[in-house]
Amino acid sequence: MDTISTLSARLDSRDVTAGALLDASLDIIARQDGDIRAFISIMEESARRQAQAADTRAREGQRLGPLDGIPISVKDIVATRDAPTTAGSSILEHHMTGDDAPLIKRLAAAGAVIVGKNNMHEYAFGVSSANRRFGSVINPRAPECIPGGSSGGTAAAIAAGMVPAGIGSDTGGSIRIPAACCDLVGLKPTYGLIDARNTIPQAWSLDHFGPMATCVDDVRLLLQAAMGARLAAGTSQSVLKGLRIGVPRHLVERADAATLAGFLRAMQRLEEYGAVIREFDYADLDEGYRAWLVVMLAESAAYHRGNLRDAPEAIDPAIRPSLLAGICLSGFEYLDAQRYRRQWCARLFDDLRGIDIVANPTLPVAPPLRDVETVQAGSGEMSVLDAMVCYQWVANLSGWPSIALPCERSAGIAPSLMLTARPHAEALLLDTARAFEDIRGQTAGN
Amino acid sequence: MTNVRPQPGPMEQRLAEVTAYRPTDEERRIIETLLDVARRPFGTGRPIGDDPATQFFPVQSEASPFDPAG
Repeated sequence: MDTISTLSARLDSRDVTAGALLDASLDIIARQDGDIRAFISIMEESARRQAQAADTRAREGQRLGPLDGIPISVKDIVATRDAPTTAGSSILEHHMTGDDAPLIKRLAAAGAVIVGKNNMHEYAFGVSSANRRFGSVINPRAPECIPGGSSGGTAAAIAAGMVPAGIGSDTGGSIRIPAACCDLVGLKPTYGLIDARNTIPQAWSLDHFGPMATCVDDVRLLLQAAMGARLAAGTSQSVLKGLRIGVPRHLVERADAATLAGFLRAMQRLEEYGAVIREFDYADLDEGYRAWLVVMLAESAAYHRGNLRDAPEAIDPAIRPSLLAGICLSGFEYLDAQRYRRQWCARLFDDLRGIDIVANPTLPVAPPLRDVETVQAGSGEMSVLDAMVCYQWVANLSGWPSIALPCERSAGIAPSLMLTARPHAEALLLDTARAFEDIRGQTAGN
Repeated sequence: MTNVRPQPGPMEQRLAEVTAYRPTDEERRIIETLLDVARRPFGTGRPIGDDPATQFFPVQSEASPFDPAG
């Protein structure tokens, strides 16, 4: 499916209707989703109402903005009045919330047509989007590889051309990992920028909601709709001139040779256009990771204690031990982790003095094959889970905005570049990503 | 000689407060590994810091409409 910008221009010129775009989206879903399993529910009835309203506004010259009449999808963790909100679990299979989440209301206010709700890793607690109840999501770009997770259904729907963009959530990389695995762009905004009320939490103080799409411009448009405000307009490649980019050496060293080569080519391109690259190291990485782990385990267990009491057998055995571990943590241990987090995040501003943007690969390896448990990274053998999360958690612990986008144009899946900025610096982050999109190279042979 | 029933370990006691579910041996191994990582002390022996856990304050002081001097 075309980009939001292209589709919006066609809607503006009355070259196409929102109803026709919805039909096209539903048609691709009907033909392909039996294999890809990107959706848990299709909201055809409410989507038709939204499309009709968008077409009425278009006829009257009253389009609400670029998202008006555009079909999108949302991860099935965000409450909707017109469909169950399952979080990919059998426990919540028939869970009706009775109201739309504030995020859904914002998207509707921008005129978005919400086609359906995306499949995901159960309770957002994994990186493969292998789902026992609703079937494992297939990566449309590379069916032999995982699509990433937990927002794997949203990524697969976009990669398969079912929708141009969608909403995911990210507690330890769940937007950026599937974006990287499916050769897409995914943004985890600053903590709290997008309203997380009336969603199924994984860990309240680490959860972020954000847009996924095929290009940076579409991510920007969906972000603006989701936050209900405009960002300062992006500039051209001039944003790169003098931009101070920090590369966390110890993290980057974990990447395998092919990933590292793609990343270094990206850094070279940025340097050619005026960016100033320098290496640095995060202080106390291991302790920061453990603070993230304790907070994630404890908050998840707090939410799931009712499920552990009433229906423990219904929880995916792959995630149940993590929830049980969270139960074993004490209040003291959780508080210590939160207090250490506070210090660690404060020190981040010192570590990054003189740096505007942090750049590293999104993943240390190519998207892993399905059904493998370990991968060979530059630093040695790692579990798939550790490999997927190792570059992600910093932005969840700190709440800093972070975007993943392909390093190069590719017919397949290029290594993914992750850029991270200071809180509420989304405009700089998106401008930088957009400028890089213009200058990045093309993978040899494609 | 009196037979003494084996006492549940700290993990079992803690889990029993929440759930009747008993983890399998494999689950128990994963839980112990996670807790081993999670429970290492922060700050390499330094105090965790003298700041109170300000993120739990119900209202941020800088957002107060009142002039503290007045």
